[in-house]
Amino acid sequence: MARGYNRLPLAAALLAAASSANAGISIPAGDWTLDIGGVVNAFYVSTKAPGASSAANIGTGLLPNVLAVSGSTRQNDLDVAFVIAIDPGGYTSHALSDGGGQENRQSFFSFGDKSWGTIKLGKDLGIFASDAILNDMTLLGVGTGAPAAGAAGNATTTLGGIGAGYIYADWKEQIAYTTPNMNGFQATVGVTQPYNTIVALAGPTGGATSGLGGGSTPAFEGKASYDFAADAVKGRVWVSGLSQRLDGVTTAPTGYSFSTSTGLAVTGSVAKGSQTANVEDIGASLSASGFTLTGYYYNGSGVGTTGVMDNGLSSTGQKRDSDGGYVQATYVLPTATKLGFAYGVSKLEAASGDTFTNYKNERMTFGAYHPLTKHVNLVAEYNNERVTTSNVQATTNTVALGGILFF
Amino acid sequence: MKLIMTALVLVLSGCAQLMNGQAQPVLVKDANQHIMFTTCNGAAEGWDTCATKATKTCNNGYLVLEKTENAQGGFRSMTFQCKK
Repeated sequence: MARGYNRLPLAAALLAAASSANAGISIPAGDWTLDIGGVVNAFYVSTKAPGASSAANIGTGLLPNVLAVSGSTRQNDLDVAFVIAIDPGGYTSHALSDGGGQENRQSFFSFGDKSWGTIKLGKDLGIFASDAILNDMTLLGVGTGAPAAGAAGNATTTLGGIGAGYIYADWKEQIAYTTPNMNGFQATVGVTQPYNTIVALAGPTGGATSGLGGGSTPAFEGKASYDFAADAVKGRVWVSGLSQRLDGVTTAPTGYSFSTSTGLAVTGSVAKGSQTANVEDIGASLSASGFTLTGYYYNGSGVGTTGVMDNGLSSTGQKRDSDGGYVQATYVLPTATKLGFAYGVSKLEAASGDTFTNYKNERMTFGAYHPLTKHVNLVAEYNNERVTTSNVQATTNTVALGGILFF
Repeated sequence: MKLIMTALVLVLSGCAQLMNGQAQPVLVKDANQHIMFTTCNGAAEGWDTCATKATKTCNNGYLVLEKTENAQGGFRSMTFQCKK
């Protein structure tokens, strides 16, 4: 009988107990298949920010190190699975810091069946903008956000393209339903942990905060994607969105007072009730003959920039509009090295009460990613980031050299 | 001179290694049903390389049976069936 496939290398001819999980080390354990997987990465990062001396750091990139244990089984006609992961960062800047910081990004279980879909409960990557970061070529590199000289602290990661092309999906507690894959179409809807509005990470200083999460309601997130293949062209299109009530909005303080009995206190903050933040995005990725072109755009109100609900409100509690996106082109050389270029921008518009006129964070990234072995990638990146606030520009250049091992 | 020659040998051997990147393999999951499994994890590979490997493996095209993705490290896997 004629074979419908080409002869494969002997070493790869049999796949014992191949699971749908991706981890590198698979352990049959009774009814369960346990997988141990993860990432180890380190980069030499040289950064020159405006008004500062050059900074040299050695640490983790956009991903921390990861050790994940997952398991899957079939019980009572249901696929049951779980993942628990710990994520140590690589940065330290002084002695006696216990080896740096650590995150705990994933801890969820799921159950379902191919016929009707999957329900997931626990902490995992947020639903909104998840495809934006998964398609970012700097996900396993460095991108923006390298620490300044002497300021690495216990940082766990850099920022990649976060805040310069898309908003971070973050790792959120959630209850989500994902449909079966229907000829390439798949959708996920879920309720997720509501976030407070903060003034942090990036963007213009100042702004109102919210301290009561979503009040009596969670955040609502959803996404839909369609994978297609037409002869030599393959790709994916996707949309996603998020809506969340912001309860307990409080305007920015106008001053400070100090008392020897109570210490420092802010003054002038006024309660402003609640707001509702909304954001949507759309993206597409096309691949042909070694080339891959990706385009992405988002538009929101009250959601802020860089992180979900970061800098989303003006000093008087009004919603700021934000939008942005990125384009990215990659090409795989005959040596299997992937070369890539990306341009991204995130913008935040001033609202009533703001003293700045506009905020824009742009980046250009040139990257080379080489598969030294099937589990080790070498990475070289140059990143140019330009932040414009009220028409004043500040440019940061970063060169990163290092590698990442995944198993 | 010895130092220069040693450095040159190291650089050239390093470059030779860099010219020979290793792709993640395609594995046979079910030979009778022509079902295959591959991964395209990491920074150098992506869904495009998973699709390219499936195209090269199957003489008459393929059907995607399952794709999985985990954001922790860009883990991607694809199970596909070669058309007979």
